[in-house]
Amino acid sequence: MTVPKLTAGYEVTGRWNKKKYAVISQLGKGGTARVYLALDKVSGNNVALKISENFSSLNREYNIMRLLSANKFSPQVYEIDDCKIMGKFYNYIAMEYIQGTTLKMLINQPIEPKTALSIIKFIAIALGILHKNGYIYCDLKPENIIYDKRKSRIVLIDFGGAVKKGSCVVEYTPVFDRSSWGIGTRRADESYDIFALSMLLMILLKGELYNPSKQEFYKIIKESDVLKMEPIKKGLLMKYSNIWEFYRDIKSMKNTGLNKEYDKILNSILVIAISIFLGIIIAAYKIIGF
Amino acid sequence: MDNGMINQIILVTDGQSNIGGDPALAAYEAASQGIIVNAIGIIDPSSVGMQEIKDIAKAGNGQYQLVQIEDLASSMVLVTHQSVQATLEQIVSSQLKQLIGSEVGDISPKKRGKVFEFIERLQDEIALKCLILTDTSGSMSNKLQAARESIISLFKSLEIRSGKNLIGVMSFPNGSSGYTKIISPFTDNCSELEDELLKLQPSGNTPTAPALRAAISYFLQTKEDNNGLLEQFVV
Repeated sequence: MTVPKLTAGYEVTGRWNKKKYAVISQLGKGGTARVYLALDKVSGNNVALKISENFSSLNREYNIMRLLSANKFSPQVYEIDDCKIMGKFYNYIAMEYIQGTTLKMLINQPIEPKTALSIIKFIAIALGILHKNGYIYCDLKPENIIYDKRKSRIVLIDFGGAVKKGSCVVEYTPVFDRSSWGIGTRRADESYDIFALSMLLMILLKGELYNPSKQEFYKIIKESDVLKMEPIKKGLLMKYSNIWEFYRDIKSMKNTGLNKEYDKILNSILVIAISIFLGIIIAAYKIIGF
Repeated sequence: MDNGMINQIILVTDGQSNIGGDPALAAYEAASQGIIVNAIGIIDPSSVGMQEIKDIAKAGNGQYQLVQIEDLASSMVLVTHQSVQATLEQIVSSQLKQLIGSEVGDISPKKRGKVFEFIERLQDEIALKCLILTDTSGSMSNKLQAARESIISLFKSLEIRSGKNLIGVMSFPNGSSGYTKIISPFTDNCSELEDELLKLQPSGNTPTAPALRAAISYFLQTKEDNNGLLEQFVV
């Protein structure tokens, strides 16, 4: 029950809209779907084709992406159609191909707080739009977030895990799943996503992944205290009822927390510089002696 | 519709079967009885025979995943939901075909929304009977604690659905003599399940095919008076 692997040059033809694509290469693969880089034979543009055997979940994905793509938080979706591969029908979405690096590449070393906070802010807005429309993203993880350098924006890809608010989380990654940490259920609600986003911020700042089967949850909370990141702590402990509260707290982080530490250092450098300057003037005054 | 129930087996193993015949054939027999077989392969440096996992899931009309032991819980949750959804899609599609002569795919993508909403609702409401068939042969011995936790985690995940859930656990082999052992009978009580799971202990060979057959007959033994939707349509 998987989508067959297609070779370069394979032609995909839409059953309903009759569009034609030529497969270039495979970009990714999941349980019930494969994503290909393909050439739109009419426009000559490169597109990403997600081909799935699961019609209803791909249909949901298409609808969700349409909600977000207007605001450029997800790839533009061009069409949804069916195609026949080796005698069997599959469902596919044609969407914008985004070149960029996934956040996963960034998690080898700590990221500057300013950068991390602005990434998180982008994602918070995207999640806010989803939530407003009654969906929870659920499978938030660095692999699903792309930094599009060309247009300098953050894009969420893969909405296969998104579900209606109130239903159960189907797809998750343990470190971002509150239930794996033993502190909440897998019923999809706003705070499920906020938890994952807070964990992501923590991971970006620390530059390392955690593991719920090896680490204790309270230690992560302690670390958020050390970082002076109140929103992380509140997000992990599910103190926010909606993502906008989290967003506002993140936005106000500019003048607090870690940045305060930098300010202190900056201030002391300034004090030293002024004293040296004064010292030189006094010395000059004494030497010249006027 | 109300007494419809989805029957599925989740096979968890880290190795290749080495006794008792072809497990894919046994999985096919399960599917013919209306029982979906999902298969999860635990990858570790010594693991071989992952092709078998794919063949079992294919023959069993189910889903498969190859994962590290840390991801066993999430993969159990995923394959369960995915296979329920895929099964319902098949059922609804064949019902549509009977009623109006066309499948979901024959309706244009723009007009499918209503059908999908129906499937989504069914997914939440349908009763689910799930037997976890876990390998306890030698190489699994250091993974059994993770397996216990994963089963509980799956249970808690499924509890959120509004439909009924019955979860049972069977292990294979049973010591050096038998093929399978019932660890926990089908139950909807989490703490009962938790207690029973302590019986999960390592031992012996990997008789995957006979274990699958024992799982099928256990399903048939515990069959309630439901005309399982699946049995009618998936062959």
